Amino acid sequence: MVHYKLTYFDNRGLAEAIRLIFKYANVDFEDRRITFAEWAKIKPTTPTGKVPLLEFDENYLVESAAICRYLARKHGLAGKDDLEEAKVDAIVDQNKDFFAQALPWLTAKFGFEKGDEAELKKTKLIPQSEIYLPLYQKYLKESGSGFLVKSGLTFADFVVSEFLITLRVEAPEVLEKYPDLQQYIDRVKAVPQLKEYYATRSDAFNKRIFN
Amino acid sequence: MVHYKLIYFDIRGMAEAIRLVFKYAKVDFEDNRLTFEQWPTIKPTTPSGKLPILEVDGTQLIESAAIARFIARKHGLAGKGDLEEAKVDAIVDQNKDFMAQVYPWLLVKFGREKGDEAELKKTKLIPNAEIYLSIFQKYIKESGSGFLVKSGVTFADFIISEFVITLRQNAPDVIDKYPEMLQYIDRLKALPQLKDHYASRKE
Repeated sequence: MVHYKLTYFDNRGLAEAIRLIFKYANVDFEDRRITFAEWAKIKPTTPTGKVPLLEFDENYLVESAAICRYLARKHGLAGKDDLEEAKVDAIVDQNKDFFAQALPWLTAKFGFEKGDEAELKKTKLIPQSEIYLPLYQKYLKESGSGFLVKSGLTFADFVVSEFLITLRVEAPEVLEKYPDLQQYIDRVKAVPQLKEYYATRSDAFNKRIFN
Repeated sequence: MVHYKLIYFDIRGMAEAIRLVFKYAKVDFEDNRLTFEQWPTIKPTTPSGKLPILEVDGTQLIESAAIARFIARKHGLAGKGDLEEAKVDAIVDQNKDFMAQVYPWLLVKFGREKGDEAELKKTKLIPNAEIYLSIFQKYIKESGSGFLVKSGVTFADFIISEFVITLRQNAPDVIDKYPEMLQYIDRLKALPQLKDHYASRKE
């Protein structure tokens, strides 16, 4: 049996979608969670100086979406055929763009980059959310499955819902305008294979990683 | 037979890697190139207001990397085996991060945004070129194939090389410091399946 070791900070961040795939598929993995202080020591020993990092046997994988896709394909979570896989990949890439635009606001809010949080929220988060949140609504409406694509749950749902959860925690007024997206988050959290996991984990940002 | 229609502008941009996958695999496709004047009318009719779009017998796919992967997977250009596929995907995502870091400089250089080009070149292009081109050179060295991964050419090579070609056009002094990248680009341009395309296309 393959021994998987996932290394990331003790937060949801870019690793949570990976953790959700493992949990959904009922696959054991070592969930190595580090602080910033530990990271400073470990970073030079890692293949690319970045996390999340998935190690197994003699192999390693980096880049959260690539890791998700690799695992998701093994567990029926990547889309049911080539066209749907491309749709899942497209949604994940769109979320990456949304996330990249929102990141300066988020890191200013969490306190690990300088920035005017209120200004960045106004100039970056809000306009970008007005582009991307309606797109997610459209995908949900068109799929008919309650998830982002027609065949049902895929890793795109984990990636997108995790970011929507972050928005719900850090800028609740943004998501208030999208009740169907709020319901969507709750629907993902109610997936039977994951209900217990979601119930016991925290959505809030863990500041103890700064220790 | 499947009918493919690629919709983009008459530039390399985010569509050229897709064109290269089709050409390398010798798969016919309709290369629909819009003018910038046509775009405002067409934009509201598109799935996400963005290009490229690939129509596959009428079904529309978006997002350049997702489209490239979709076609590449059908023609052995996505990596050999699940691990190598994941490595290819990781490289493409690393390049996406590289592009995101460098875009503030590139948009100013293109004249599409206001800004201090020299300052952005110093703070954005140069340090990120050092980080990412070093990583890509390392992959090429480790693969032993002359390309980014061990089994040979993949869509990651087309995506990365196109961006580096664009950077070189706009900052040759920076990019020429990475001779292995320049040799790598020449190696791609010499591929028998693509030689003619590279030689005759507008860069």
